[in-house]
Amino acid sequence: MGNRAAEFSRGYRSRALIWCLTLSAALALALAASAGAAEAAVTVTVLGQPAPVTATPVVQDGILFVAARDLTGPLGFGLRYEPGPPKSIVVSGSGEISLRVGDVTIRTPTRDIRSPAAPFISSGGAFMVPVRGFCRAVGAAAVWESQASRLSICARLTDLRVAPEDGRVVLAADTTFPVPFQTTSDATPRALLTLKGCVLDLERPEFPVRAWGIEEVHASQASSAPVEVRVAVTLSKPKPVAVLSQNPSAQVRVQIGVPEDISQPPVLPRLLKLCFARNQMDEAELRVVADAPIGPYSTLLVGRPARLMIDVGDVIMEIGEVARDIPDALVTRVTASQKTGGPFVARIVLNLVGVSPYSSALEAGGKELVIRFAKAPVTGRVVVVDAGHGGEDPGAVGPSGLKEKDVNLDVAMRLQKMLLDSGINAFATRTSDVLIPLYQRAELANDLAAEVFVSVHSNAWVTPNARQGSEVWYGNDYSLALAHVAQDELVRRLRRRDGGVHRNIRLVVTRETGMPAIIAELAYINHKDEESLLASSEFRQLAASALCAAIVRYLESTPPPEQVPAAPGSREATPERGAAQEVEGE
Amino acid sequence: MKKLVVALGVLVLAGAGAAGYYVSVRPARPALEAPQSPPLHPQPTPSTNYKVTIYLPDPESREGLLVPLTRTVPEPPTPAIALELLLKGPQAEERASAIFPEGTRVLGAEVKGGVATVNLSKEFREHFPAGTMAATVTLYCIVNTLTELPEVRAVRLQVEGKDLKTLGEMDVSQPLIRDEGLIERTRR
Repeated sequence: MGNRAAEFSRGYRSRALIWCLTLSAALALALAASAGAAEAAVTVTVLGQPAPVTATPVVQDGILFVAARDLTGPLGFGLRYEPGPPKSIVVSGSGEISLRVGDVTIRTPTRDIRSPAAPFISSGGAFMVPVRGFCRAVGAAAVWESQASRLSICARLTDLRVAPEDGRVVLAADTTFPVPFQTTSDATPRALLTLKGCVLDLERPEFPVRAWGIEEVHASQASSAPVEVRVAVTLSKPKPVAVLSQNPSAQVRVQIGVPEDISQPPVLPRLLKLCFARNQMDEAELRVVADAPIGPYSTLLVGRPARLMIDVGDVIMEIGEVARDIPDALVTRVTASQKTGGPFVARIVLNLVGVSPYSSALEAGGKELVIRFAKAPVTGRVVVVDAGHGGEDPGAVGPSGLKEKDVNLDVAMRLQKMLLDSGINAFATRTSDVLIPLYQRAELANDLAAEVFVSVHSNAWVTPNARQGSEVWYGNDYSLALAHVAQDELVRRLRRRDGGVHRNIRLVVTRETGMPAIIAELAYINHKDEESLLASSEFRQLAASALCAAIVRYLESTPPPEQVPAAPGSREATPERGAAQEVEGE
Repeated sequence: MKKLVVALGVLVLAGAGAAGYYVSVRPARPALEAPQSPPLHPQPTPSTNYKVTIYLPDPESREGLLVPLTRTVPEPPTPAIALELLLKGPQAEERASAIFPEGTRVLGAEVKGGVATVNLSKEFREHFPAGTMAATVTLYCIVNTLTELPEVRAVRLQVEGKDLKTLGEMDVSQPLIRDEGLIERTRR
């Protein structure tokens, strides 16, 4: 077991941290339960080899302690005792770390690590160190199997790749300590590499290669005896496998195939960035940019909530996971992630305001996938504008006597005119100071087969002068997109407090209408500040323009009914690589 | 909820570990003994008070409109008791508004087949607030408060003994069920 080049300097990764946390939690509980009875039966394995202990491991306050000398020897470290006080040890590899009795801090060349417990001297005189903290400091990982009372101190697999090295195609596995390994191959055809006494610490344990006759690499963890990492390399046809490194090794190199294979260059495109912007035609446009021609891709538009799913096959996501909100009239959010466990697909999802018509094309020599949303026309589409209350029903009344019904009517009339000017076929439920029954208002919109119903209201709190702001109310899920667009426009243009979007299934006009329907509450008429705003012509004009913009934005993002694609579920939602609808190649 | 499950899980695990130790191991090593924990369910004393959760609206709210508030009563709560607590409104230090229209009296409240029928005086309808927000929070403070009681699944409203069909701009002809979406999220 010579040549133990321990690497203290390696950054400690989150994945390994999770390992250690879970493991030590399990360890603590399991050992607490079994400590006394099964103490003598605890076995320690270090880097895949049995490591007899000279001092019995103990648990104190749920933390496992092992004699330092029982770990340092098998891991290939030097160990020096300092008499103190306090007594301390220095563990030496390529650098030095020190642990002191009664001190939770473990000093390493790069940083100090705070261990959950401090070392102590056992009754037998052994320098006992907390296993978790010790492993963190030296770049190892601890695995506790409670059933077998077995503690495994493992190396971490920090890099796994298939790449040309010295004129050969090589599977390279880098670990924090030298580990024993073995290779086999089977008829699948696959080459298999087993790294003993090792745990996974990889960002991508599975990845495609698609070059040199190698399809994919899958690394998996065996977390019970023996603790090992199994790497499977799927091949397009059987190939010879040759070990290039000594055994054990911290840099395992396995040649796959013959040197001639290297003449075939790698082909997998890497996804470099996602760009969302409005183009010169004011169309919303997403560009998926790769460094090589993009292969098969598929798109799928689903409704409720409306979103476009774009699957790009056989790419490497260089950009990592993406989740970003977009301030756009049509698209609200983009997310992207690499799917694993099946075909290697980068899935990009655009959350949409409505089920917008779109087109997709490969540009820039196939290296850019462009998704374009054409705006739906708004001309001639039917919208119903409803001025709340009226006649004998004044609605809410402000502190100085302003009646809600009058504000609502004025704003609704302004809105109707703006909509008509935009080419929208806008109807009003009332154009004068009369009371139209609630059910009749909804019926009008249903009879007209309107696409949007907007009821203009002014709000009131239970007590005067207590609450302010703009709010939108809705009753059905299919009205939610319209509600959010309206709230967005109201808050942006009226600059009142954002009172939020709220649902009340009992409100008659949004309950009885069969199309997206909202109640827009411009401001609080029973608050004196907002009452005076609602009394002003400028504010009313602004409110009407906010609602007009919202309606136009919503209609542009939602094709007229006859163009609406089939409901979700009627089309396959998880496209296979190269087998989905609308697949286009270069 | 998830947090609660996790917390319970941890408790159970910790308990199991400690218990296992007690059973199987010599109890001579104090460092490994289970910590003393208080009993999970304190025994109620015979003269105990009862806790009632009522909902009142928060004028500053943006998401959850209704705030759950705790009241203590000396007898097991009934719909009538819960309604009287609602009528009393918020206490001085609470950031919430009173909801009942002026002059409203509770004429009766009885539960049958899981539906609480609430009979209110005519002022409730006459002075019921216009304004979608005021109307919504008034209605759902009543519904959510009453459905806190285990025997109440839905609420039917009456004014002067007659079933209400509409209330303000709302259709209340069917029994009203609880709306969790209106409750302040952090305390839900």
